[in-house]
Amino acid sequence: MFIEPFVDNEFLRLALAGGVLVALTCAVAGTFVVLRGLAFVGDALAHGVLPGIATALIFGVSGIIGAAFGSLIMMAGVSLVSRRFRLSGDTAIGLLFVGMLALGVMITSRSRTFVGDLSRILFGELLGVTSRDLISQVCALVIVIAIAIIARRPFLLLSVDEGLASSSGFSVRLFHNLMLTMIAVTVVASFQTVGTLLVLGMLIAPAATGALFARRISTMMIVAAVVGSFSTYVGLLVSYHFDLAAGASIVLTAVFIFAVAATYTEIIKTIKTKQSNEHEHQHSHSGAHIR
Amino acid sequence: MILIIDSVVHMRKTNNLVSAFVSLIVLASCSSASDPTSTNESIIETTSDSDVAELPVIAVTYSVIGDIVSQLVGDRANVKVVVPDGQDPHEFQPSAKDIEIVNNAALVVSNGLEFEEGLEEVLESITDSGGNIFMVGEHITVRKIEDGGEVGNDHGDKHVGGDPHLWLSPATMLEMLPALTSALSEATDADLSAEATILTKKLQNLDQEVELIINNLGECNLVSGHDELGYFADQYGCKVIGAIIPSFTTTSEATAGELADLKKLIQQYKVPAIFTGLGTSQDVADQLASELGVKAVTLSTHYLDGAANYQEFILKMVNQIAEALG
Repeated sequence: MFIEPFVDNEFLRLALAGGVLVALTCAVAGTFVVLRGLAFVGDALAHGVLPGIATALIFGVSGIIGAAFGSLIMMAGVSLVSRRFRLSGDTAIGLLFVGMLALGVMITSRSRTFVGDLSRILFGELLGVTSRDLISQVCALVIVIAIAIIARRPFLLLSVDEGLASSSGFSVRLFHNLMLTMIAVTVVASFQTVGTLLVLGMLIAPAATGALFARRISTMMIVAAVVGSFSTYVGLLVSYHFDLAAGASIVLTAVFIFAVAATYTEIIKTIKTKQSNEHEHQHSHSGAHIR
Repeated sequence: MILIIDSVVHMRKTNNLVSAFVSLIVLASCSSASDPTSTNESIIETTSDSDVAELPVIAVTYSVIGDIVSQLVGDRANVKVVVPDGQDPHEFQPSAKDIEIVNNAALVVSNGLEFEEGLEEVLESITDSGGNIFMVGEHITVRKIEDGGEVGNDHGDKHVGGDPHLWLSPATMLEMLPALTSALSEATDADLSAEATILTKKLQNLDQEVELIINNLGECNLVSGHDELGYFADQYGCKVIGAIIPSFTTTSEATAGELADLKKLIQQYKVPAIFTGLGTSQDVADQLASELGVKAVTLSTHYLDGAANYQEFILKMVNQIAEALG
């Protein structure tokens, strides 16, 4: 019931391995996304890679290379528009986001070579994960962890306050872009497994759950990794037993876990304030009694 | 690699997109350079150019039926195919130009069984405004099968639950040919009986040829991408064991449970090959095939894919099936 599906089916074992690797990569990158409020950039990157993937497939090269170029154009474009034209980051991201998405739709819908439908790029092919995919996912994990370790202090300062980072002698622009690169690497590597649309869910939901419980960044990442991996396992089981799409099941599980965790922390908080109120009340009461 | 990133971190004055570039290139180099799912194939245009402006326009939704219409009308009409060869007719979204062509056509020929999902609204508006439309599905015995493989019941609506993949059986095409011929005669104002006789003969020969090829196989158990080979299997004595996406449309997705069930069936029936094609994930098919030690064969079932005509298209498909199962 809980184990046999994985014992019996190699495709499920590969899907689980791929999903857990995505979860680990997303736990590291996602924690910074959540702390620094970069969800919109993450979303934009996830969709900005679309024309790159489509073009790569038309020319018969690996989608991952196309996605890498797509995300580079996206990042360069965002920084160019927001610096040159004095538009807010949001506007620049939004502009490029819709532009790249539309370009992707146009390329896939009008090409004479069949590149597969858009929904497969958006939702991924978790049940078709190959060992080759696992290798690139491991590479991404190593790169993301390496960036996070090397730049852990500036990243931490950036997440708290940009001014703090620059007064400590770190270039805000450099490390901001490095952080974006880390997110881009995560998105580019994960789109094959969970798809460009759902990678955002894996980036945010487990990390947000981590942020509910933990104060330290490392603890947040560990919670996010556990939540993400567990969601992958539960999502695949749900897909197996209830005949539901795998990628969507996983992300929905992760969002559901966040909802449960958020409710739990709210209840705990309410109980605590109530207790402390009652405590105070009792205290004052007894004080009155003594008097 | 850590050294590279480390040095980049310390180069504060340099263009910081360099760091992005380095990391992404490292990642890209991890993946192999070529993708087996993509193919670069040149596709022959099926629509003739509109130099012949005087002729009535017959708009056909997809290339397979488009060729049958072309064979019937010859040069008496300008046949325009809406969904280009190579695109998924289940999902194709029309451009404004496509809609204009369809709206102004003397006759529109469509599948009629909710096949062209992206064209649904355009076709509906033609039906509603009393436009001239020929739906192939209304002139054949519609195959109605529910998920479990049991024969389903008609829900009252003639469009609900019907298998739209009617063109994959030449016998079904023969069934609707008289009705199509009269509709085309009316639209082009020409006598097409000679062409109809020739095409009927050709399709009858094709039908026999297909039957011969499949009969020589002995056992014909089929596993396809989505549930697309039903008419073909019913007509020529094959059995559809299952599909990666057990649905009449490619817009659905494969699930882990259905894949596991399919795996058991493939083992049980000892099916030697999985047929995939448009709308099915090649990766999923390849993975399943390698896990079971069977072949994964790409089959063109929804568009001509460069075949000169309908007969060639069907023969190519049948020969691929025979080769894989034989």
